[in-house]
Amino acid sequence: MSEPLPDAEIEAKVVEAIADQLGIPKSDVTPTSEFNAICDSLDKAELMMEFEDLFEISITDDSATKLTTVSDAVRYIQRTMKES
Amino acid sequence: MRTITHRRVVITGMGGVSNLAQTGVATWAAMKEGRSGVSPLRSFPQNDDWSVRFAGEIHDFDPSHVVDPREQRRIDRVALFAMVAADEAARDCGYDLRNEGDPYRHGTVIGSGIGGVITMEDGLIKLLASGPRRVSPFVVPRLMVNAGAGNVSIQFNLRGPSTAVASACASSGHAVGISMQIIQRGDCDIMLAGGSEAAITPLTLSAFASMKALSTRNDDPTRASRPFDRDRDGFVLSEGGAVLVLEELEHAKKRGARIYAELVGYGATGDAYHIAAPDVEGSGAFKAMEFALRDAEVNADSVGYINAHGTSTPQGDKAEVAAVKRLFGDHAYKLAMSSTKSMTGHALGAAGGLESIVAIMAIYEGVLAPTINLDNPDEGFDLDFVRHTAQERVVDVTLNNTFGFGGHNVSLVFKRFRS
Repeated sequence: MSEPLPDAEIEAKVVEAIADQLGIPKSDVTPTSEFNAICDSLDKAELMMEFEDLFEISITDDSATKLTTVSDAVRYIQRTMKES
Repeated sequence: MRTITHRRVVITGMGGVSNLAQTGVATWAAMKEGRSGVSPLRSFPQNDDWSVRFAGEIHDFDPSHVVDPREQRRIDRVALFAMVAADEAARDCGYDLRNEGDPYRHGTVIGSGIGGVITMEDGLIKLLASGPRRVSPFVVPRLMVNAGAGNVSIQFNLRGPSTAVASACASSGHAVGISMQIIQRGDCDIMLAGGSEAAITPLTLSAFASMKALSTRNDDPTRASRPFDRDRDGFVLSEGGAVLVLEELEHAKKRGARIYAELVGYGATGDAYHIAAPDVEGSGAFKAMEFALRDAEVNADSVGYINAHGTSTPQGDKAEVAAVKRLFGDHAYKLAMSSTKSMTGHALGAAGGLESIVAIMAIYEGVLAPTINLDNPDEGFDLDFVRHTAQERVVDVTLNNTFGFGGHNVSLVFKRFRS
């Protein structure tokens, strides 16, 4: 298992992954960005896989449903990494 | 037998993507020059186990002028071919499909023999390597055979009938014929009709090679597709897309549209014989042409040119020549018949669309595209195959034949437009 990363680093990686996957500028992705506003459900499902790979964690379908904003995802990833 | 009075259907736009060029216009220009689009394979690495190491690949395909790079990852190459061809066709017809008219009067039928097999193979590799939780949610929307139609309908806000045809190499022939009927019966005024294929993959190439359906002329790829030639040894797997704008005549006239030709006949049959081999007598092909001419209400003697299915397989070419001789009798020796697959290879579900452009432009420009590589016509193949170089000839009625594995036969009849 990998060492927990600082929040800021997780956020930067999450933003970069989202921007990369959706092909949008990083400046369009902020902590308050809602997934529903920047992508559709298929994009979001693929993003969850990307986060799982990137941070070596597992995101259950139930948890993924509750992640509404980018900061929700960042907090979830930080918490999960600390638990592991 | 006709029982109703048909609305007339004309061709007002065309678009294509092929290994000769990434537009329909430039593809047609390359065909008139007798160029080959076949080349050594680049899509994936091959070792000596591969009996076929060349194909009709489209190199450096870039759909960015039509599909945003962000969207491209959601769409398989096969649907991107359809969208790029549809974009050219829609611009060519001079009608703003997105903003003019009633969108429920606009529809699409886009055929594909195989669908998104690149996605299928990549998805399976991912599944085996990483497990089910790593399979992309885009696999289904990318691989489904109707992805071309679905994406083209979104692209142009087409809210009328939107569907796909999968009849192997006859797919886009069916797509054009069915679209014609949708307009004739009054359901739509404009249809984007055609097909696309992007199936040059390890699985598909090896599978066709296992069937011994492909040419193995690895040392001379540009001369491998040689329909009607004595030394033909199978078809060349290729890829591409083509879309025609079919429009109801009065609708086209009202807006002063350029009319390339009229689509007057569609004949379709099944061999009911063998799942992959053609009926040796070409009976199904014969009947498809006969029914198409009857549908068109034109005499066989008025046909000036046939764009043959002519894939360069030993049996297929033989059956088609036999069918043409039987149907046309003495007139078979007066008309011309070429196979443009000699240049493009066989783009499977895209073939009928690409080759309809050839049959239409024969009428519109008075030029017949050649059969290249036809050095020595096979025994008894004594028709005018437009060998090697294009011919200038005025023709008023042309046919496009497409036949597919499964025993599917389609013949389309185009006619010079006269009001």
